[in-house]
Amino acid sequence: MKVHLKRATQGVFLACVLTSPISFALEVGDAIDTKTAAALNLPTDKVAVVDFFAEWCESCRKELPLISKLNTRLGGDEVEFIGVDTDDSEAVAIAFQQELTSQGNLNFNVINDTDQSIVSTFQPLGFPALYIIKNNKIVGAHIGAVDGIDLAIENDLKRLMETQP
Amino acid sequence: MSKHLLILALCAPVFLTACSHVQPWEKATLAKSTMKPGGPVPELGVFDQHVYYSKEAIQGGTGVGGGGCGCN
Amino acid sequence: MRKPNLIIATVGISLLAPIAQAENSIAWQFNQYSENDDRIDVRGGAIAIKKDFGTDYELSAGIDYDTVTGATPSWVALDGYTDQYTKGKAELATESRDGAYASLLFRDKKRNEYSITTTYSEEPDYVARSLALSTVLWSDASHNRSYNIGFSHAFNTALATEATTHSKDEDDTTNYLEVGINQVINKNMTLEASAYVGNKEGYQSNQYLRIVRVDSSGNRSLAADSRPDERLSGGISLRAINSWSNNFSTQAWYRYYQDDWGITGHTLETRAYWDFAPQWRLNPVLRLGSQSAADFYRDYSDDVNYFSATGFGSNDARLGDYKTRTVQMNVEWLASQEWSLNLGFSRYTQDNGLSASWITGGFVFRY
Repeated sequence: MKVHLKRATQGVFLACVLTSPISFALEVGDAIDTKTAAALNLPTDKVAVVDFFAEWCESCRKELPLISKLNTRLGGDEVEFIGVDTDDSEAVAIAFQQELTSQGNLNFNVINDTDQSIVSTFQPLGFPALYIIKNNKIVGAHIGAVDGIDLAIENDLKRLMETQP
Repeated sequence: MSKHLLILALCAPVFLTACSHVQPWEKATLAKSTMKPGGPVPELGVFDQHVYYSKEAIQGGTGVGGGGCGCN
Repeated sequence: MRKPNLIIATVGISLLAPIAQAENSIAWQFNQYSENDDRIDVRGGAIAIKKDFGTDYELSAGIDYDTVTGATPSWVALDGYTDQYTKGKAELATESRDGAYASLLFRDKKRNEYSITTTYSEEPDYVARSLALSTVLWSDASHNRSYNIGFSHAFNTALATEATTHSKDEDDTTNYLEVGINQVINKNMTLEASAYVGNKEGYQSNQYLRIVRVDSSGNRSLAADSRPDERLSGGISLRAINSWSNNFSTQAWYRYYQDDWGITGHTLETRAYWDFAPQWRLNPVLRLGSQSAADFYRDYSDDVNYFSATGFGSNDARLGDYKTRTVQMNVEWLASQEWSLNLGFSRYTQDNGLSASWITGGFVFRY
């Protein structure tokens, strides 16, 4: 019994050391690989605002109407809004998007990331997660629920236009 | 024997940290209302607690909540 | 407990609320409760409102109301004797009790949560007030572990009436602290462990119940229920929540309790949530409990059920040694995205002879 306990302790210690989580989250300044850029259909001539959301995420439900309003005002020649739905069921994702669209709370293109390969590339440390991307490079990010997300994005875009016209 | 138990007890939190890293976008199940301590209708349990507080001598430990989805 | 009827748990209620679900709602519940042996009947209900303000603030408020009728076991004089007593019933006047609570929650940039909750309830012979502060602190951005701390302070007053054993108002205060840790184990499971401690000071005797005291000469007399004016308690609790499939999950909760009145107790509650059909959910609950008796408690049926001329003493069965069982079935109809209706039946028994049943039902409107 004593020997087994000793071995179990050593095993647990080893597991603790070897399986420590290592994060490879994409951050501001990081480039997006070509495969992910193609999956997102990132524009080459505009700034892209990429918003990761899901049906189960209450904060996402609050933010999407605000981002849609921003899309109405700013979306067009200079800015493109892209949604990424990370629900692992396509049926759930489509039903959710239809619900939001019928309420007027979602008016931009959405990519269904049912195998979660796109979000796994970004590895955001919180959810929802929003990235501002220019020339396939992350120039801004808002991770987790943000009060007044529309204002926050607008301020980021203004700053971006001023520093990088 | 007690030294190994102590090591196990001290290591357990580290073990838990190391082995349970659920990514923020993987929390669909944890976000369900049935996964919350009060359940989908916390109001259903409030009257129960009134009864137990009134009819029993022991109280406390009913929790403060936390964890789960963490997406708010 | 202050008196032999239902009184809203003012100390515990503010720490009962689960982690805030960011969803606006209005809920209404009715309750109908009755005990065996023509004891207590309670009818009442509650309304609760929850409203988000952006992603960072949430306000909750509610009112509840009860009407209590019935009787409770108590010593009464034996017919024809001036100093002999028997177990009888003390009739309660019909009385109503109203209560209210309000709670404000704030989330910071890291999504840590901070809550403040206040409660108030009033009935003809008792006023209860409490203030609680609680926080949920995430250990890191992944939100897989949180540290939960809650503190509440209650200040209550037992009002003197013609029927009470005390002739002036009596106060009591309770301070309660609970700390816990909640850990995500995997995509389907969470574990929570907490420790709690409480200290109650002031008048804690039952203001209606009496005991029989026998002096050194053998003379018997009825006297007021008498308990220490301080009670230190504490314990630990554990909770495991697991989702077994898309439509079935379970929760298990265990609590250990101990206080300096000599009472120790164990409680185990298991519940399941089963979405057995589209829009329908069953929620069975089984709760088992046991507690030991207070040092100064004697049962009416004990050979020595009376007390000496001085010292603490109580025949209040709630302080006794017994096991409890609650069997409950709740059903929820998810009529639409916004509306759900619920109905629950509960059967509660103590192995000392007390049993009770209650029905609760109502609706939740989410908007």
